[in-house]
This record gives sequence, C-alpha cells and structure tokens, in this order.
Amino acid sequence: MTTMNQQTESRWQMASRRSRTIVESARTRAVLSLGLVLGLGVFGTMAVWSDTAKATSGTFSTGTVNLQVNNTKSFPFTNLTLTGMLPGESRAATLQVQNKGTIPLTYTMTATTPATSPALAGYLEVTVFPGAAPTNVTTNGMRIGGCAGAPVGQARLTAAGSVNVITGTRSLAGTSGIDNLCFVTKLVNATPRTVQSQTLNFITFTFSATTL
Amino acid sequence: MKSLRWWSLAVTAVAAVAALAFASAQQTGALWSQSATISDATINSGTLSLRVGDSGSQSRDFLLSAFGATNLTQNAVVQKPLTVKNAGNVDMKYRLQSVSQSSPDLPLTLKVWIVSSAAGCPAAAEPAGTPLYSGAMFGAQAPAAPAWAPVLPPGDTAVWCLRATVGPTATPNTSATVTLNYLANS
Repeated sequence: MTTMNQQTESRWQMASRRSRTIVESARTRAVLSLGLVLGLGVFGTMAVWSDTAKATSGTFSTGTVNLQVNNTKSFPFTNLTLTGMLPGESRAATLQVQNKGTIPLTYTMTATTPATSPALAGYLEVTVFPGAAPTNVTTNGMRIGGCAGAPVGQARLTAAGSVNVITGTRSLAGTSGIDNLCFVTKLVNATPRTVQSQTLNFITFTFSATTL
Repeated sequence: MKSLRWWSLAVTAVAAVAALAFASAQQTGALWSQSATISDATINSGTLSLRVGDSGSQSRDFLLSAFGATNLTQNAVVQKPLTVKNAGNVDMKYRLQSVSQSSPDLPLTLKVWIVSSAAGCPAAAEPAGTPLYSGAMFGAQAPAAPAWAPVLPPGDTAVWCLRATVGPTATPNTSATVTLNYLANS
C-alpha cells in the first residue's frame, strides 16, 4: 500500500513538473507572441512614405588671371634706355598692360633697382602717363622725353630698393582689357656730380593684379 | 502513459478554447446589431510627391542652371531661389537631406533660408532672419535631422533661398556643380 502511495505521489510530482514545464513554455510563447505583436506594431509606426527630389546647380567656376605686358609675362623694355644722361634729360617709351585672364582686375606697379645699383639710381625719377604716344626730342642739346596727359604715377627710384609708382586703381576688363602706358625716366636736375659716369643696368617694373 | 497525458492536456486546451469561443459567440449574439451598406464606396491611398524647381516648373530631378556662375573669384556670391512643392495630396514634412559636389577643388559654402517669395531672395543681399543652414556646401543638411522644415500642405510651395559663396582659398580655373537632395516623409 505504501509502495502504491509512493508511486502515485511520484506520478503526481512528475505530472506537476510537466505541467509547470508546459505552463512555462506557454508563458514563454505568449511573451514571444506579444513581442512579435509589439515588434510589428513598432514597425508599423515607422512605415512612413517617403519621396525624394533633387536640384542640380549650374556650374560654379572661378575665372582665370593672366596679366601680361606687350603680350608676354616678362618684357625687355629696351626703349626706355638712355646713355650718357645729363641732369634734366629724360627718355619716354610706351608699353601696354594686358588682362588676358577672364576676371576683371585692377593693378598697381612698383619699380625696383638691382642690389648692386649705384647711387645714380636714387636720382632717377619715373613718371607714368596714360596713352601710347611718347615723344623724344632734342632741344638745345638736351634730350627730352614726354607723354601727354596727367600722370597716373610718379616716384623717385631707390638704389637697391623698390618704390611704388602706380598706386591708384588701374582697371582692366576681363579677357581683353588693355591699358597703354607712357613712361618717362628722367635724371633729376639736382643730380650731383658724384654720380656721374655711373650706370644703372636695368629697372624692373612689376605689375601686380588684384581681381575685382 | 505519456501519450495519454499529452492527449489529456490537449483535449483540455481545446475544450478551453471552445469554451472561450462559445462564450464570445454568446456575447456577440446577445447584442443588437445593425448594418448599412455604402454603395460605390471608394478608399484611396494618399500620394506623397516632392518636387523642386524654379517658380515656373518643378520636377523630381531639376536642373537649376541659374544657381551657378562663371569667372567667379574668391568670396564671390551666387544667390538664387529654389521652389519646393508638395505635389501630392497628403501633408509633407521635408528637409534638404544632403548636398553633394562634383569636385572638391572649388571650396564653396552654403547658406539657406525659407523666404516668403522669390522676391525675398535677391541676387546679392542676404534675406532677413537666421539662415536655416550656414556651413560647408558639401554635406549640408537643413534643417539638421531629426528636424524637418515646416510641414507643406498638399499643393503648396515653399521658396528656399540658396546662397553659395566661393571660399577664400579658391584657385583660378576650377569648377564644380552641386546637387541638392531633398527628402520628404508623410
């Protein structure tokens, strides 16, 4: 009898364990099902319609800058040469500043003498006029160069140094802008005898462009 | 024995479901009900349709050729209006999702405003108010996610003022186009 009771109890315990397992399994499934439902619900909330459209611009492009003098980047300005100058004598010559880039610009100009320049350089004066009609005449034995119009820049040179000559804004249109300039280089009247027989081999005129 | 217990549990479960179903049917049956039929009823889904363009026309892929220029210099500005249209029949929230640039060689920055009309986006002067975006052209987003531009009702348009500025480090003879990608959600 005792053995039968023990067997019955054991069966009930086994049945109880199985039942708990089934119940736990059912709970797990229910939770998983709920999770699935919630997951679907969240997904459903995120399911919005969307659309796209795009606008493509035209081209943005920068222009070019190409400043030249007499169709070159480095022009030997040999017309502005005079030997055996006396105080008061001068020489005139012309050149053309050109904007061969696409961007309108303004420019300035400096005059620089070499590092080994003699003191003579400090007694030379450069004056720049608009136009392309220099005149060079000899009057009473004095060689005089000249240009018409009002000067656009003037400076006394410095030995082994640089000076600003054209400081105002000289404008050049894009692509084909030109500016004819007439230069006069003069040995000033007050040049002392101490600088006679000296030679200044060259003056470098540098044009600097700034885009508008 | 095991098989028998399983069957027993299964039968119990089915019986429970049947009881629930019966109870449910009884409850439904205990209510008065009435129905009516609407003839020719039509249910349409809405349409979400985003279009961009100028004041005259808009499309899904628009060439805004006026937004660009040649012979630009450093700090040069190009400012043009862009029309955004809700061509659908549901409210639309949208934003400028991204901006791509065909070449990184040309440094560009972008500012955008939503203005009342194209006249509010002149060629040079900045529109009044704080821009919706101000920064690099590439990767621009306005407004920054998750924010959206004000909801655009069906058929309505909004005018965006786009202002591109060439960066101070731009070099001569470089070019680029930009693509403004708009995204709309219902």
